[in-house]
Amino acid sequence: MKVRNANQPTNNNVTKSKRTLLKHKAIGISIRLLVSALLALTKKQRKKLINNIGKTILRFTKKTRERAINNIAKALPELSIKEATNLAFEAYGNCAFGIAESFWLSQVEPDIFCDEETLQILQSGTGACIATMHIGCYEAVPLAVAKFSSQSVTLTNVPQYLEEKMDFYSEVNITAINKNSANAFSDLLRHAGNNAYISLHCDLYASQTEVTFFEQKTKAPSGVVLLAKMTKKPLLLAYAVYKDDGQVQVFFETLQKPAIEQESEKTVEQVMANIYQRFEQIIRQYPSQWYWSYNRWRN
Amino acid sequence: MLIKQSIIKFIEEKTHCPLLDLTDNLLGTIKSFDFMILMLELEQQFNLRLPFEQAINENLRQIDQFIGWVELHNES
Repeated sequence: MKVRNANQPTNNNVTKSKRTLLKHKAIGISIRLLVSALLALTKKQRKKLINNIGKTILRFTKKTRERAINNIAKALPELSIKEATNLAFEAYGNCAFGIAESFWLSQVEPDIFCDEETLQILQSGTGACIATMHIGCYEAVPLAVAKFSSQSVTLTNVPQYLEEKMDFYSEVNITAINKNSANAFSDLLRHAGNNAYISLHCDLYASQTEVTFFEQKTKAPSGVVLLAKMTKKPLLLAYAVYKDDGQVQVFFETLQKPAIEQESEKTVEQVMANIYQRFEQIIRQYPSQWYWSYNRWRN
Repeated sequence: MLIKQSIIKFIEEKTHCPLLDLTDNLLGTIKSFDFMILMLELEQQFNLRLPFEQAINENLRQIDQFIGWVELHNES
């Protein structure tokens, strides 16, 4: 009987990890080349090209297309099927551009809008938790936060090998914690304790807190609200949308300041209801910029 | 004792099974979302203020270490 030391890598494993490394390297190089080619274009040309690529992708992905159209029909029943279909394509193209802009964040200069109270929170340097959404330019909120604070933190799904090579977050002073890393939550808490401004997308589905969204019951991730309560930090809402000329606008609003002792604090459900009410208003205002193709309403 | 019972009850409710080993990793046993709920519930139930950053810095990984830490804050 042959006994193999569990710590000793097999030839097969070595070949596999080498192959994975090579694959990662090849993906990294291809993306860098693609980004360099796109950056050679003017902003307008780049937007048009990526928008059209997005629309073409949607044309060939039946499941995603149908989901987007169904979601739009559910949320905006006043639209005809033709209008819903057009909106699905327009939104998918816009979202493709919004995601692509993450690769050249250093070239994105957002216009920032907020009231005096919110500005004070952003400039105070004492941190806040920020509920944001997948609309317009997805990473423009942490980017705008980085204009005020050296501690702009967000969670990311971008594979680590790609982020390390591309450096697109650290280049603009954003700390991106990989969602899939073992220490993601501890890292997030550590940053929160150090007065960081933490932007978390919370418009997608998670089996955490019940909310009503476009008059339908669903569930949503409420980690950002819990984090604000636990850290006794203000809770802001922020979103980034594109103007017709391609300029990014980032809006910040104060949702809740930390409760003073004895003051009755809103429950997580109440705060989430407020957040989702605002999300709905924002999406109705900019329907062609929200990510409709996600399986948002699940049973 | 009450704190220990509350924490164990919370974990058992979340995991749907009896907690057999108090040396288990807390964040490996419950989700991070539930950890935040647990902290907030303990603060409310026992009228405490738990410095969460301390829990992270002191690496209170095991459930029994976490229980001891909360009890310490309750006593002080």
